[in-house]
Amino acid sequence: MTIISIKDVSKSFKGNVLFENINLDIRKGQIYGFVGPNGSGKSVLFKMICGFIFPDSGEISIDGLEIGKDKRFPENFGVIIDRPGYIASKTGFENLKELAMIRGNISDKEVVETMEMVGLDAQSSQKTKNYSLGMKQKLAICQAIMEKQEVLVLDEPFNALDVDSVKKVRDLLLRFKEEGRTILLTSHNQDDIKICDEVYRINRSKLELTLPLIGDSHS
Amino acid sequence: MISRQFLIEFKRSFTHKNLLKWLGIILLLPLISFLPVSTGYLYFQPVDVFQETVGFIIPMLFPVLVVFIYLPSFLQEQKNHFITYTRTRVPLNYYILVKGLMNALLTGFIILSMMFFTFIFVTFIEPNFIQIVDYSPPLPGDHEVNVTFSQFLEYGTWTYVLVYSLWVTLNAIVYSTISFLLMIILKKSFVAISVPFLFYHVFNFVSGVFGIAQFSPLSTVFPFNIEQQELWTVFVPLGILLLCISILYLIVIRNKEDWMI
Repeated sequence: MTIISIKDVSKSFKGNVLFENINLDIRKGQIYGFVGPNGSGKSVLFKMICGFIFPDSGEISIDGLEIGKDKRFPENFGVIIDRPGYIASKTGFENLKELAMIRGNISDKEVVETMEMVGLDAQSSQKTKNYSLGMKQKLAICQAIMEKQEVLVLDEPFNALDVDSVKKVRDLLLRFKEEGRTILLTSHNQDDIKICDEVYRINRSKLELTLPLIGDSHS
Repeated sequence: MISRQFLIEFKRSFTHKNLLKWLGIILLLPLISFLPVSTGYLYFQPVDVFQETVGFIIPMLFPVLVVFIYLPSFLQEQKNHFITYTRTRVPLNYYILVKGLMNALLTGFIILSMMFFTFIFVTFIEPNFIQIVDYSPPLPGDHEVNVTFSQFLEYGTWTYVLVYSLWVTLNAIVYSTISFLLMIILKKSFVAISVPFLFYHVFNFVSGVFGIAQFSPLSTVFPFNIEQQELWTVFVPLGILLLCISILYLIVIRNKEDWMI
């Protein structure tokens, strides 16, 4: 079942043509990887999918509803874009609680459980301004998954994570896939991409399907 | 959705740290201003003490105070890209609108409370419990100093204080809203926060140099250092500021694509 549909999308950004008439159907319950050199437009593609920016032409639909037209922004998306975001003077738990309050659909206990899932101490009084890069990244992952979002759009989710944490997050993503959640991710690391069902390379403003790596991902 | 977001923002704003800060502005600042003017002067009535108290330190700090009430928390959210992660939870325009309204509401409420507390303190608390101010009835030959807004005294002290406090509140909202809009437009938030302060003090200086002190922000918001002027004069700087707000608002709407990313 197609959950995200990208039809004839073109986008230029600051004078550079990033995408030209790209088409892609994202199916529910799959992991999609996007690779490409720096500046190729991975983050811009994710921002368009999330409705943060709009295509110059073409349309992006979520569950059949066009973003920016039928729908203002995709609900139930968990997102990491560009870099982790946080309020420096608050603890990790306080940051997540501030975000959770907006929808108000999860309890404090669920926030704590999510933090534990990625290896963050929810009771810690450490402010996020004193967090290491890896801890900030874990916090970003927490906010993307804590409300059991159906679709995860994760730009470089493994950035700055130590080896154990990378494994933990990879296992988590595979578990989410089994639960039927859809995941889109970018990474520069081939090992990270191995968990994907389909991998697309952004090349000369087009999306090229590279070989699926399903066999490797579950080995 | 907006009303829900407004409630959430209201809840988020009432942190221990903010409460302490706001109480400091409402209670401590008038008391600090009161001390130097409480002795060494002869007053006819409490409203004179009120005018001296709010006309002492508060006018100097006014442009700093109004951005200090709520905007530091918005600055923190902006600085480390927190707002990006609210965008899959609530439409960004709602989020920003609610922030702007909350800024106006809280700034207005805190400044209004500060003005009223000053009045209540000098009118009821000081004469009954502290009694350090010298009051004496005016002698023949003494003349009462009238300032802009004194014309409202003929309708009673409460009316005067209410009108005057609302006037200061309105100015506070306008100054802090200008900073808020600039924070959305400008990349450097520190500049955005400093602009009202610069406008306030530079315009005071310039109006003094050109001999039009009756139009200076200081003399129109806190008109206690200048003899009574026509009431319309106070609306001149306010008019300029409202024009600035309108222009800034249009820029925010026009550059939506830039700040939304």
